Amino acid sequence: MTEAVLFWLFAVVAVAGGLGVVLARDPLHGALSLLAAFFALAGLFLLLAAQLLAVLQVLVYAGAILVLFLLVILLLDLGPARAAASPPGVVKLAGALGALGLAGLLCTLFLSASFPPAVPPSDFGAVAAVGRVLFIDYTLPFEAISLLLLAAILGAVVVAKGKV
Amino acid sequence: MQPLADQLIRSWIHADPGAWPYTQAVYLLFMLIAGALLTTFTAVFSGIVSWYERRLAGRMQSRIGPNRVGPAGFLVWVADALKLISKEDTIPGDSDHALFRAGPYFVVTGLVLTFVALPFGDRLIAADMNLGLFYILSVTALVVVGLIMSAWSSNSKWSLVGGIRSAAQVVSYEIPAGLAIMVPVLLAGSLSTQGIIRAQGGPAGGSFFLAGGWPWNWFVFDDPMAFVSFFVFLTAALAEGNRTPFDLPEAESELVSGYNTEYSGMRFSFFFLTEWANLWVMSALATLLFLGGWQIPGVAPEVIGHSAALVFVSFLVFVVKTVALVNVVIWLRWTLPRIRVDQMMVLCWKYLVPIEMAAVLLTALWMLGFAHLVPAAQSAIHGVFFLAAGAVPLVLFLRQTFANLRLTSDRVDLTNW
Amino acid sequence: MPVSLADILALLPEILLSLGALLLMMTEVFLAGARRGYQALLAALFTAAAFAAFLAQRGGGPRVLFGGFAVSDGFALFAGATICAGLLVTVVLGAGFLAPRSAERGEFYALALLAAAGMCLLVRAEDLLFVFIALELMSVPTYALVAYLRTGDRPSEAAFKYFLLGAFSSALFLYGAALVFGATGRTSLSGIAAAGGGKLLLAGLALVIAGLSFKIAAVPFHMWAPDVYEGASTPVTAFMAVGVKAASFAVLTRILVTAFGAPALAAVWQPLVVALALLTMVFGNLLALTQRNVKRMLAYSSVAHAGYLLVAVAAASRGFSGPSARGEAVSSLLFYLAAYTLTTAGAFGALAALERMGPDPQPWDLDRFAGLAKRRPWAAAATAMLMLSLAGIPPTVGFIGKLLVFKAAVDAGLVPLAIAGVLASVVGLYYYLRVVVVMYMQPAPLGSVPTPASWPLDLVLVATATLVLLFGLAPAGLANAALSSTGLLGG
Repeated sequence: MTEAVLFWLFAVVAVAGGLGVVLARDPLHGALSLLAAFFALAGLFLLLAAQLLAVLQVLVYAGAILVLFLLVILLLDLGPARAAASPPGVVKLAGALGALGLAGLLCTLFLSASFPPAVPPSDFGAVAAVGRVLFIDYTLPFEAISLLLLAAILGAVVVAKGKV
Repeated sequence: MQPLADQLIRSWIHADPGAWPYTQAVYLLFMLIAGALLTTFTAVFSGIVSWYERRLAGRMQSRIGPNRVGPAGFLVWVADALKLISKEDTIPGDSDHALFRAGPYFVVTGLVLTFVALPFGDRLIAADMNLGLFYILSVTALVVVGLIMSAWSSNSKWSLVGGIRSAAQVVSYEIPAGLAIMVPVLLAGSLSTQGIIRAQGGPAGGSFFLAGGWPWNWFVFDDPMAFVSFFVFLTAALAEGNRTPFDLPEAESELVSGYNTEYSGMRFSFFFLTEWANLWVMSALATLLFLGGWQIPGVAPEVIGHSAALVFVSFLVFVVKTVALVNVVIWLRWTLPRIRVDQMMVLCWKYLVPIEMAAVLLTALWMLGFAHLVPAAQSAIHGVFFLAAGAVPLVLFLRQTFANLRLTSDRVDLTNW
Repeated sequence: MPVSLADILALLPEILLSLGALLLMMTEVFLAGARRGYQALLAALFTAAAFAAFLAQRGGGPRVLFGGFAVSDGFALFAGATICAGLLVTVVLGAGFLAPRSAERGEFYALALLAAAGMCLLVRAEDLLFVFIALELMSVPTYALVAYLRTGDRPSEAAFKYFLLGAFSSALFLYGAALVFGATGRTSLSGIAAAGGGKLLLAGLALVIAGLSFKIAAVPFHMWAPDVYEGASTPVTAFMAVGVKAASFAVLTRILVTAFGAPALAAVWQPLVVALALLTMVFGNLLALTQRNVKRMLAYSSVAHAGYLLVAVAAASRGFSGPSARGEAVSSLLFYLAAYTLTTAGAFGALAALERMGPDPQPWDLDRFAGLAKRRPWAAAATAMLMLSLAGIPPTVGFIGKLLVFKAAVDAGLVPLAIAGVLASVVGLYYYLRVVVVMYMQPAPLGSVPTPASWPLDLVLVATATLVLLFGLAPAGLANAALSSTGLLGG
């Protein structure tokens, strides 16, 4: 009962936050909607007993990434988006219809599908368990991601350094 | 929370709370009481520190400081609070009203939430989470988000520049701070605040000089990396809390007052409440991570929980260590000049981050190698060794200082006022 | 499971590429003098070592690495060697192209090596999660490489376009992978094949195909290709045209055959791939017809070649053909990939050799090729050979590749598709041969300044043209290598 109430609370906030990101004209409002979505997502992780994931969600996304977004918004002094950039009505209508169609398709797919039940181990979500999975079972993806991050940093430096 | 509540109920009214029909409601009541206590503590502590800091500043600048209300001006913080509460809460006309109002609440909430996982003594903690440290790091995110919200919504360039600086500073210094925290976490093998303190209690069943919170059991003297990390952590925590010498977001000489320029009344006071209460948070974190937390010298950590008197002593030990660190931070504020923005960034990215990267790696190697070679009972040996390594320069420094003072025949007054 | 030394040794090529990238980054910090010619040499050495490591590992049976995230099988080794060959050509092209423009930096080679490491991991990925990571490791450095040499607005626009569409396609792939995971509860390809699933699995399959179709630039997901290929500096274009395409094709084939190879599922995706192949061949060739800009023409030509490669993928569906036919299709794909890599990399080399320094409104116009046969007969001959190979005319390797692909299609019962492919190739003849005609029949326009020759570029031209001819005349060695490399794990 409590779990269902909390789930719906977090789910509604997460979706509303996501909508806010897309619909807000002021980029700062969008960023703060994102913050709400992050916190709601962390709540959902907690409901799934993934405590470490929940805390990291807040620590990394709300604490570092969102602050970085805010820094960029403040630094560029971005005002509310101009209304003139909005596409013509036909395009909007087509986009809305397409989105609705896709949503309907996905809904029917999800409702018709049967998901295999997941049985989490007893120490699921604890730091030690996550660490073991990350560093032993997932060694190769972990190392590949470290290469990926290195490549991303190098790429950002190359792009930001100005013309060669 | 639950074990403490159970223990209190059992010892006071000799009843088993598990047998009651509404146990959850009782726990809820306890949680509410703990929340009220912690919030009040935050407010009162920051009030007292505001008085203390001003007295200390006066002392260091050869003036008197606040001395009108109460003995030695002690009640000035009550007067200040009353004044701020009764002031008009102005909101600039062109500001983003909703965000402008909400910003200070984010700041205060983020700060007060950290107290949930901060210990005050053995068993004296609202919630001993196994992810306590990560929890503390993550909820402080709300503080900086609140600062940026306030800065942006004020629609003032001073506020905006303050907010930008704050964001840049926090994002940068989060990294060395997080890495420095990893060193004691590695040594203790735990992310729980109480777990880290327990790990600094010496070997199990050790004799009087090996058990409990002797300095040679503290993590700061465990190995060179931890010693360095302690200072890196203090520096990074200063920067994250916008304290001098890193108070660029509210540099009075450049930005009027930074992100809080447009605020007045109660909302303004929230920022200062947060700033001073943050002194406690950072000092308590440094204490529990590096300085042995509430461990009582000579008393094995397992014993403390059985006696209320020892729990109280552990509380005192923790408070004394924390307040001593708060004192150091205040000294720093009135000793050091503010550094430039570029210097701040260079310090973080070119010095602190590489140092801490190396420290974390070396700590892991240390634990794999050296610590395994030395039997557990002798782990105090290297504690003593590094304690001495820290103490010798200190003694030499003090001797030189006193020699210099004698030469100039100055009067030395070691009291703060 | 503990990590074994054998697993790490199996990843030696990728490790060598990453080490090379790290070393090149370090040279930029500690050895960044005025002369940086050694950087290209260093990159080439590490690439050649990775190539050799791929060749040295051939012969062993298929092996699962690191608990099922990657595999070491003939398919991965052949594709990896192809990618390393493409990277080697790119590095030499980079040396010849960047040095005169004083744009040679360690970062260029480091990014290329990292991207190649991602590609090599991609071709051996056996888990959708790892496919995604390798896909990103391939894409992220490529985005930066497109923006590497920025003169004018075009490269920035190209990089931005490529980044946005690349991120979009990665998201499509990821969403598809998530749906597949939702339907089966597995991410490993063999696990998905074993689990099976309903409509959700099909939706995931469609999204995975769509995401990878962006990477291989198949019509209708090709819109970015001409702009991006034109905007990027020529060595980077060559790298994208050969490396990214080869790796994406390899992983597409592996996913389709290994995870969705069951007859019921193959019956679903084969028509999809056939439709994509048809559209890509027809529109790629038709759009290339109208281009006077040779770089754009080559971009559309690479789209058209994606169509021929898709024919091979369609032929590899198991539902309509026996295991031997599938092996034939996969080997024809591998052969075509190798042939395409050699030819296209060489063709972009020809373009790089003719490109003027400094601002030029029409740097790649067909007129740049006019009179080349008089000025530089050897370069003209090599270019002509490469164009013939692209068109698929004997005695070049391009012809053998097309022959094998269409034969595989016929054997798999896809006769109409093969006929369409042959017709599309005939259309392609026009624009490839037009370059040859302009080179040999038209005089150089008055007042044109010839580009000074650069030996690395000439080396690329001559080497690729020679190999194209060699493998065209004696294709048995390469074809046998491809045929013995079709052992897909679990496929």
